Amino acid sequence: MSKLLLRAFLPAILAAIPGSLFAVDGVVLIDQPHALAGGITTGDAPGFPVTITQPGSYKLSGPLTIPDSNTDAILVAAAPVTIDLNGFSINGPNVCTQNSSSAISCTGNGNGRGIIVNSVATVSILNGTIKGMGGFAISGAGSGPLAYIDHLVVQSNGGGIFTPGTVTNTTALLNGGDAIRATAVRDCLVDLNGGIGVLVSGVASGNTITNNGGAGLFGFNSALIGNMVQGNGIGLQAQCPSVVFGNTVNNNGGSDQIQLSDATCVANTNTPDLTVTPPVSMSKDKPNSGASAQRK
Amino acid sequence: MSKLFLRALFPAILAAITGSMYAVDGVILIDQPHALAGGITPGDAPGFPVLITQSGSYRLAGNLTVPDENTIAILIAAPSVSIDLNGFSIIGPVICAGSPPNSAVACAPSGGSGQGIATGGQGAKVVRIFNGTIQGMGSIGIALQFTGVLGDVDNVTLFSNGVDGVETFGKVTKSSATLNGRNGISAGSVLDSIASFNGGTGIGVAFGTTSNSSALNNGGFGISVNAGSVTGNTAVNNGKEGILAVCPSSLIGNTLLGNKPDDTPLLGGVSCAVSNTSPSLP
Repeated sequence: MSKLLLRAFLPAILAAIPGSLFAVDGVVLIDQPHALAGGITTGDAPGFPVTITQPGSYKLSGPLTIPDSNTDAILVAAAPVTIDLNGFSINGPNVCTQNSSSAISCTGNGNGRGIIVNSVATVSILNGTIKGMGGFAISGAGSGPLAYIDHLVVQSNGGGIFTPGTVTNTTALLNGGDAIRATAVRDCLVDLNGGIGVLVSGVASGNTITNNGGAGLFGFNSALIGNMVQGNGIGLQAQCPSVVFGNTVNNNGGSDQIQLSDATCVANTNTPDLTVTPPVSMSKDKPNSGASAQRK
Repeated sequence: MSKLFLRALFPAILAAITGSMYAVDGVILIDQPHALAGGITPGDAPGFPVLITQSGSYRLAGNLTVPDENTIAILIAAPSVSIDLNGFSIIGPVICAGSPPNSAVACAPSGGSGQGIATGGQGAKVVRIFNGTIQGMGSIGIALQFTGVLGDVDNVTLFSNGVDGVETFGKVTKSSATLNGRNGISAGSVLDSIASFNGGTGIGVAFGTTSNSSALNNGGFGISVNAGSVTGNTAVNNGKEGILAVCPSSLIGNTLLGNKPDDTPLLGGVSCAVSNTSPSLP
């Protein structure tokens, strides 16, 4: 049989090989049966979490469903790694809702996370949904600017995304604790989370941050530019020196819309252009991964 | 034959069926075994670099790991080439460490000449590289900075390369350059990208545009521009001025914070247009 003919039949041949872990282009595929079977990479035990111990490119080929709120879905212990959720979801049992007093409460009190990054270099996570985890949707243990997160939806988890890195084009909705903590956050929609909306130590720009229980936008020595911050427990807080430009900050809790830690911050062209400089008490080391918070 | 065995053998089965590394859509696949075997294109000798002598579309089907800091991973010698890194990485042995601007970036082993993807010199070439990571090369992650080469880079992470992340006269979009030994991104235009913790300049542009990008904690200038446009960027905590501009250039709507010695753009010449660049205007 000629090579040409074999190539023509290649899709059928591939389909006939049962349960292949590999896409045609070498990407390692992950779905529920293979997660439960184990062996996705060397040392990956059956069941969750799927443990990634080898650098490479991974892609979901179906949704992953986690049995309880204390189970992690994917543990990344190698780098560089790309995880393309491929439009699929990682689903846990946790359900967060806004209760009658406008707080966000969640059914699960667990600590299971969607994706844990324990590696020490670059990890990219993109294109899908992480929903219903007991703990954070994505949690990074590294200390450097290592994770690149793009086009995700993180919803109804104990907390949203907590990683040193960059988060872009992502939606964080109805998470029990803080929504996004990262070095740079751009073009994200962050709504109805129990804790802080966005906390950065670099840049936050072009985000829409609404109806979160804690501060909408919280910056440590950062550039906070062109964000919409509305309806949060507190508006915008900045640990100085920071620059705060072109933000729309209104209808947040308390009388102060923009709070600056001291006079070394530069703030202008915000709407409204009201700032105060009380002693802002901030700690970025204690993320809120599940506590419900009373919104305004 | 067990399913697990079949799975393990799957790439080999695929390659055996096709006789070479073709994806079902005709794209030529590249992985480590085929790189070492040679013959990816005519004239490609076994081992690195993978030599691309034919125009076409290429895709990584696995990580490529070069043996030392002096080895080039992929060398492009054809007029029109697209390389989809496919979420995979090109990996070298170099590890860079440091925390600029407070401490310099040092890379080891140092002084290497290896590059991740290169054209190896001038000549009319159109190159596009996208969707993956290049890290640990001895010299430059992506080296396309030659006359006649139009090289675009999209959605690529350039990490811990001994010299620069990427050098090209083309566009760099949605990419990040972190902890490279010297500069992060040097390009004709840069859009929606981030350069952080690089030893030298974060983002450098000549005769083009830098927009909606960020330069954070680089050892040198945040953004440098030569006769170009810098619009809507942020430059924070860099070791030198947030923006260095050789006039004529335009600096519009940028935000500067915590740069050294201050946040006033450094202008070379008097014919630069500066407006709404904050917080301080020259």
